[in-house]
Amino acid sequence: MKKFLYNVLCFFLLFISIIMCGLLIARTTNPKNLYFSLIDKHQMLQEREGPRIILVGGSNLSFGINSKLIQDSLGVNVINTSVHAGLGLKFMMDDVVRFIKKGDIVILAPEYEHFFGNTFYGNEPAVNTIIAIPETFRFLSFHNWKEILGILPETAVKNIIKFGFSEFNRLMGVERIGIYDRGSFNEYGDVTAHYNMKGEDFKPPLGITGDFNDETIKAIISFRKRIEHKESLFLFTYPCLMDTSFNSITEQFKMVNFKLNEAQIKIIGTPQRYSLNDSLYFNSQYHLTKEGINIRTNHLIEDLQENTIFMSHLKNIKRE
Amino acid sequence: MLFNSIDFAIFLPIVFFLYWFVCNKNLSLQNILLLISSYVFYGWWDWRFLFLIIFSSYLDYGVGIALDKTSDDKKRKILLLISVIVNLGFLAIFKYFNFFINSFVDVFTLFGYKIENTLSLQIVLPVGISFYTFQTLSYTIDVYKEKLKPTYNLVSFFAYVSFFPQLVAGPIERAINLLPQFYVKRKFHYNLAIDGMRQILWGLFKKTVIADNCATYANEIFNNYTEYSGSTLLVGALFFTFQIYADFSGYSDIAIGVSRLFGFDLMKNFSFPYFSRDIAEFWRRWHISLTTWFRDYVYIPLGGSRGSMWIKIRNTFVVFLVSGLWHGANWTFVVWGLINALYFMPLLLLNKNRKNIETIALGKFLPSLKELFQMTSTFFLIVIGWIFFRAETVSQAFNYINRIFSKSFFQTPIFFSLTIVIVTLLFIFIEWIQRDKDHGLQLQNTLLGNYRLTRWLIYLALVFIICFLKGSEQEFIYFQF
Repeated sequence: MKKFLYNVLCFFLLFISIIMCGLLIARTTNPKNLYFSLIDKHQMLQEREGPRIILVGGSNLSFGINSKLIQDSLGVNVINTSVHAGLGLKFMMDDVVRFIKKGDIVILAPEYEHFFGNTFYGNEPAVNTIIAIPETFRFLSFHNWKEILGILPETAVKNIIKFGFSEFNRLMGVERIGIYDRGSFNEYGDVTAHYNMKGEDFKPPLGITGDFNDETIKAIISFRKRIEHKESLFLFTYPCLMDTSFNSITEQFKMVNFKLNEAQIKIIGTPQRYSLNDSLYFNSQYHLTKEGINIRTNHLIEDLQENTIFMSHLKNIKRE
Repeated sequence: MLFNSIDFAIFLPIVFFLYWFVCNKNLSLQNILLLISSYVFYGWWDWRFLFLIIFSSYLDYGVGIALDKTSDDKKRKILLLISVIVNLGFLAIFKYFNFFINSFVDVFTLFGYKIENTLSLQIVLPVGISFYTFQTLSYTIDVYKEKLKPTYNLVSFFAYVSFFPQLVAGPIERAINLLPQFYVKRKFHYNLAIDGMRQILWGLFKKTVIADNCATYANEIFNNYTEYSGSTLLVGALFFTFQIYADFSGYSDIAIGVSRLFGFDLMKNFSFPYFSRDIAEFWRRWHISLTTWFRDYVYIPLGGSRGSMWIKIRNTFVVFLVSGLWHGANWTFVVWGLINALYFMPLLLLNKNRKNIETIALGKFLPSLKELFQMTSTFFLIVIGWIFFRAETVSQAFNYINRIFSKSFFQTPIFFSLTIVIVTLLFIFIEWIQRDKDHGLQLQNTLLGNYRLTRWLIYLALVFIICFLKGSEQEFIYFQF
């Protein structure tokens, strides 16, 4: 038995060591990677004065909003806190809520995947963000833990492979400026690095797997309460989505819309309004080109201007 | 609780620790622990399922004792009948009731009579009911035939019926093999436990990498089969062929491996069936515990291969049809059973059904051309059979096959993921190399297995492949049976 336990323990420790190396590589070797951008966004949230609009969601926002356009049109500071849908909606909401100040307008735009299966709890990007910013560790619930434990080895291996490629490139003297780098965001938190790039040829995924996750709705309700408790305004809007993908999830978006209405969430626009032509997308069903970003942003501005709750709140905070 | 879940990864070490370090001095305590753990494992799905398994265990425990206490043949027959009727009755209600009612209504509708179907039940099928029902039945029948002494040890019997490693998807262990293992003090065997760990690892690889990934593509193709070319439909059938094998044999590997950690020895359930040279050999290598169960408790009592050719044919058809129905309450399974019986017929009629007993190309690296042809043609027949097994309806299966053999068969197929195709081919290669072993990771007496470094590198590589290439978590197919 001793020999058995010794061997199992040694193997387990070896396995854990490799995982730890893989995970720490992300932290020690590449402080420019995407996940460190949350540090910059935290700084924006701390320093930027009100009145302000705070956008919360996944990459449908980082690759889908022109914050400057909103700021110029509505006359309020805009902070786009989005990084990646894989952070998990729970993580994003818990992370941002501590920075909310009286009078803020928080607009939540999660990807549809957050309402189904386990995306709500986050995956690989959540792990890498925790490694990049260890203080975010406290946002993990028991369920998050369960999800994240399962993806640690995969994340570690991916990090090791990425590290291998970046080291190879470095040795070969190739400097690549990626669109998934900390430096790809502008001063508002929008990704702009791809503005002058040609869109990639890709096939959008069809359908969404997993059952509807009621935890998402419960968490949104709780988030709204915490925002309102700080005398701020909470609004929900739909993500932009490629027409092809959108048409493949008819049942799902109806379900999301129904559940949100049932929970009496204040919604800006409709799902159909933000489903845009395939040609306006850059490299994923949620990532818009510059042209697409401006169309989506204008839709959002129009929808906000038509919303009486938003307009009266805006008037009040501007007066203050 | 799924074997490939975090829940089980936490559950197993806890039970292992309690079993060997807390309860190790007392056999009864160890059995009680196994019983409680098994009920926790099973109740994890739905605690209400526990009532049925406890009732079923209690009934057969009582029948066993009653059989021991009477020598009156008539009474003994009645006792056996009670056990068979109640056990199969549960199976009939939970698994087949709606199927029979719907089929009855369909038949009347076919002849122009309109019948309102108000009898269909809204009931959940308890996980693994077909497995433990057959297990308890084997106990009563063996006690009735006096092949086995009935047990008076309630805990041992209940632990035997619910033994968590093999409870929900087998191997279907006979009482004669497993029950006595609960009576004797278990000793920890290092080699057995290490090989058990290897088998668990190999089973996890099969399930999470091969089966779950193949499932994604097989589901896509079968669910939208009208949109794909004949060649892609064939690829879909191949994906399902590997999915069902890796899924089910993967479960058996994990079950056998976990049992070894607790000092139990379960029977082998799969023996590289896709390398069979004829259908008879395939059925000696596929789901061995079920095949031998039907052989011993259905085929032989019906007369087996004794008697006229007509009797042999009848018995073969009965066994295959019942085996088909055992898999599920759908005509597709019945047709699948029928097809396999038809495949079997030429061998039976020519008396060649026990021709290929030895492992193919034993001691050689490659098979002969004749063996390759036999293996490929048998595999092709199996793939056709699986289309019926996977299809929603019999007509869908026929349409699917029809579309495979259409003009679009000559179009370039879609393979969806080259990585998965390569990993599956690698898996087939490893299985081929290891075909005379118990499982794919049995490394004793192999070149790579002689050195700790190479062994550990293989284990590590496999663990990372599992983590990296695992498909989306899916339940084991055989849970539904």
